[in-house]
Amino acid sequence: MLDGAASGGPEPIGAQPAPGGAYAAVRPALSVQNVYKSFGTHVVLSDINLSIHTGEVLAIIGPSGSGKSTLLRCINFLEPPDRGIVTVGDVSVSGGVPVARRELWRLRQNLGMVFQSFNLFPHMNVLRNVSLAQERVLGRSRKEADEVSLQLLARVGLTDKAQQYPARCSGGQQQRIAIARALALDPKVMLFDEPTSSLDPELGFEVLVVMRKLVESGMTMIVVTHEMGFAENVSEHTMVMAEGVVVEYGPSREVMRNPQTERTKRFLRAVSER
Amino acid sequence: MGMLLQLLRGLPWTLALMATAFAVGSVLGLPLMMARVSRLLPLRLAATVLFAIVRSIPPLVWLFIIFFGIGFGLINMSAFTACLIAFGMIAAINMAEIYRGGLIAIHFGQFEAAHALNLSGWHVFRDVVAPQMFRVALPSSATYAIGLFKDSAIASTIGIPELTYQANYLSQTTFQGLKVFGLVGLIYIAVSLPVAWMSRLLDAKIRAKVAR
Repeated sequence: MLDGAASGGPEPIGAQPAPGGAYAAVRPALSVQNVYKSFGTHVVLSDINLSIHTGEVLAIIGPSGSGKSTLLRCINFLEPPDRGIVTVGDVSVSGGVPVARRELWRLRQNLGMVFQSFNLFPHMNVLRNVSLAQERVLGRSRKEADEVSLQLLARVGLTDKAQQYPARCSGGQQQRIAIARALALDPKVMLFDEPTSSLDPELGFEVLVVMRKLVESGMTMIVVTHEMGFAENVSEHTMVMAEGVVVEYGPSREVMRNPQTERTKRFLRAVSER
Repeated sequence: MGMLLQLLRGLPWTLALMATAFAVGSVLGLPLMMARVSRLLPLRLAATVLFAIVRSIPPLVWLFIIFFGIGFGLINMSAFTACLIAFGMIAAINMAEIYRGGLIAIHFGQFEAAHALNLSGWHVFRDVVAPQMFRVALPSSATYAIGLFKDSAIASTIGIPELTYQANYLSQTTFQGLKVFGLVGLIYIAVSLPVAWMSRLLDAKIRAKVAR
């Protein structure tokens, strides 16, 4: 659910039920409050507010340069916001002030991130890619971590690639490995930054199938995407961003089929005419 | 045969000089590289100035500064120690630059992924950055090691009995300069080529794993 959509103004994050009454008035799994980010004089995010409940899937769509990816990167502080608060579970971290390493660690502990360009570690085999952080961050033994990794690789359909190096895998396979790697740390919320944008439609489809399975398993997800079908059919809510502000937010089907703002209409028209 | 044996008496000195200087450079190059790319401006500036000074002065001049300058009057040192200090210092700066090239070659997405996975700074370096950096640095490091092997010839100027020193001595006593220096040239080739070949082999082996 999102507050202050299209207003650009700082409005409080409420816990009111989302349209359709799917979520109870409980603490959100993740919330973003008045997040602002600029690079020099260029404002990339202008007081963004959003909240998402456990098990909810939010799609973020919009034209290139609208701030979608930056928003995701601000959520896990890969790009620290200039101001605003990001809360995941019971961890709140403020932008614009020095962040204690421990707080950042606790925030990221709850977040899994999947990148557009996969970012697998090329010098490690697939199994090691998935196991490494489990050992280093969660303190699992090598054996324990490898067992978890093999289960996750089975979940994304890639057990047979465990001993291969990423360069020997297709783009779609690499992205599925990246998903398994992020899941290995048991995150509460998964962030997907255009996970299929660098893949051809067939390979992108493999990734979308895995993402759908994740949704069915109840994973809370924020997905920056250009896959309109995924946004409409899989995510409960869709947020449309342009020029660093939220121009529209609502149940995905409504946003897709009956957009309210001119900017959203223009964007969707451009997508459908491609 | 006698000439060859006489020349080969210098080979252990040459190899010892090269190996020690390269080892010193490989180890010290790492903290120097970190200083060179540090976020702390004073540290970065100090490293930049140090790099410029060391690289601007020819190795022979450094050797004379250390041996005839510092070594006579300030701190007593043997010719071999002076060589080690000079070559070790120059190797450290050059290795730091080679490492820096390796570091720059790593895609920024690798750092992002490592941070997103919550790896600590040490683990980011040990598990993600260092293996990729050293792999990229491998061919340049081998080339530099070969360069160091050849440059160690200047140690002959302060009396280290290495290959070139032996050749010079033989040439002056036998008056067969062409033969002596031709032979010593062949010895340099015989050592350099296998090192270059092994480096290429190792690089190709690693590359085959990580690249299509």
